[in-house]
Amino acid sequence: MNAKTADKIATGVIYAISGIVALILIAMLAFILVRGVPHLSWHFLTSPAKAFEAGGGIGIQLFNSFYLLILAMIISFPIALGAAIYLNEYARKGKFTTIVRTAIEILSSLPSVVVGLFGFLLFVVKFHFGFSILSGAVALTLFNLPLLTRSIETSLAQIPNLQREAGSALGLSRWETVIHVILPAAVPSIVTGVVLSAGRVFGEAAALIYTAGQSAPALNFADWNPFNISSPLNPMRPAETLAVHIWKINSEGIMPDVSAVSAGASAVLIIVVLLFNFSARKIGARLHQKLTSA
Amino acid sequence: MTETKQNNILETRDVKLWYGQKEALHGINLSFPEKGITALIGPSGSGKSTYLRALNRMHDLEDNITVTGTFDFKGTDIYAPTTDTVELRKRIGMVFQQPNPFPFSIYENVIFGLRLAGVKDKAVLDEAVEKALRQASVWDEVKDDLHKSALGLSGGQQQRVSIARVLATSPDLLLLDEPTSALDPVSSHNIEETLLNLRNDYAMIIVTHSMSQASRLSDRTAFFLSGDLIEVDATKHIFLNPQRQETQDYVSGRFG
Repeated sequence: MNAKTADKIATGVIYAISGIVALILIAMLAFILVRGVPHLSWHFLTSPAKAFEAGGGIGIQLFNSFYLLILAMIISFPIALGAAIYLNEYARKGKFTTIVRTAIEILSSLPSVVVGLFGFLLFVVKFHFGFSILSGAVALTLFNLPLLTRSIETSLAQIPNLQREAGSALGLSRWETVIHVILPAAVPSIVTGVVLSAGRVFGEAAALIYTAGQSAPALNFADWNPFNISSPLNPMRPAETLAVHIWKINSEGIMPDVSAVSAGASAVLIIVVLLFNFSARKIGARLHQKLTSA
Repeated sequence: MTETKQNNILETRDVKLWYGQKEALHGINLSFPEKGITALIGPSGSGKSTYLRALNRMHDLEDNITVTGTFDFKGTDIYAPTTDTVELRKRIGMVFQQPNPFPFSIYENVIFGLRLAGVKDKAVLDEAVEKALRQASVWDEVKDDLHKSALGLSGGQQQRVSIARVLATSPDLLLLDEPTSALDPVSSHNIEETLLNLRNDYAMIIVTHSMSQASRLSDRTAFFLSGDLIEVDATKHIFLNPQRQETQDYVSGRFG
């Protein structure tokens, strides 16, 4: 077999494999959307779930998912940013850095259900947070932190060393170079990473089952005082999210329209995650253009 | 080596530098007058860039590099533990091989150092931008686009904006590390014109691979080979009448 034929065969095989991967994704998305989208309605998206009768919605779960996501991001982003700046800009090769990196690797490979059980034992039981948004947000932070740190670190590493040299040759200290040169240059890529990880966090279920809980008490959307138990903002209330809801009704749901609710909820989940993914690229590209356009 | 004693801005004696255990500079003695351009020439690996980067302590950014010797910059010992490298690098500006504007507007690039120093007065900043860009001979090309990103400029314009950015901090000495080697001939020519316009106001040290560039630009030329300074003299002497055989071989293109 000559080199040309071998090249053709290899190219064909690679195309076929990539095609299969794309096909699997498209088939899955199509299946979920075709089954779920017909059940979507304003009523479904905004009304509370019903346990025993048909016609319930996912309003509270949807709100819980976003609220948890925002809280988890507020906690994890500053920590991840700090860790990434340290690792990429300050750390020298040494024992301590190796330990930190290994810790991040291990943390990122922990199964999320283990993170959830750890969160249950520590925050829910030991710290008496109970099944609550707070417990869930902290568990999500543990789940999100290593991935976000790595993604921000990659964003920083992409900034060429020329920029650091330019900074220090202008008489900037290392910190000034980071704050005034490296971070602004890395913003588009950091934002993309944050939004992508938001998509991952939004769809997470296992880490939340034992921390944010599996119940969604009725909320009073007129009450925005976070200290009231029925307020949507109360961080100490149990909060079943969309992903947990899907898991729950599929394992023990007894409402008559359980399969319709499950299909509709899955479609919403997928659509939101897709929105995060597409907008991540869009926002990143737009920011990049804005910062660098001539 | 004969040098007429005059007011030198920088005097270095017995400069040695090690990468780990490997000695890369073997004791360089070299001084620079207050104005004018000195070219450092020599083949790749001769130590000319390494020497240049020792002058504003850029090697501090790397681990594993040791520098010894005397560096007297207008009475300041560059390598004294008390020397503030941040302050030092404001007085000894540097321009690199690759143009490296920050991903901000041209305006913000040029006043970067001033802003950090706390200058807020818009009139002062505007004036500084115009002055620096004029000095770098790029004002006419960019004056209408000051608030557009510097990354949208051509390579040659980016390099002149980088020079303007350094000039805006009013340095006493300018280090140029092969500033035209990443540029096309037209842009290189523009940069050379820029440097020639600055030669009466600044002390400049330029590392270059191009002997024609060294002969066009510089008042003095120093020839480096394998980590040693072979010869330093007025540029026309180096090119027309070098004292050492190695210099003669290099400038006539017989090796390197």
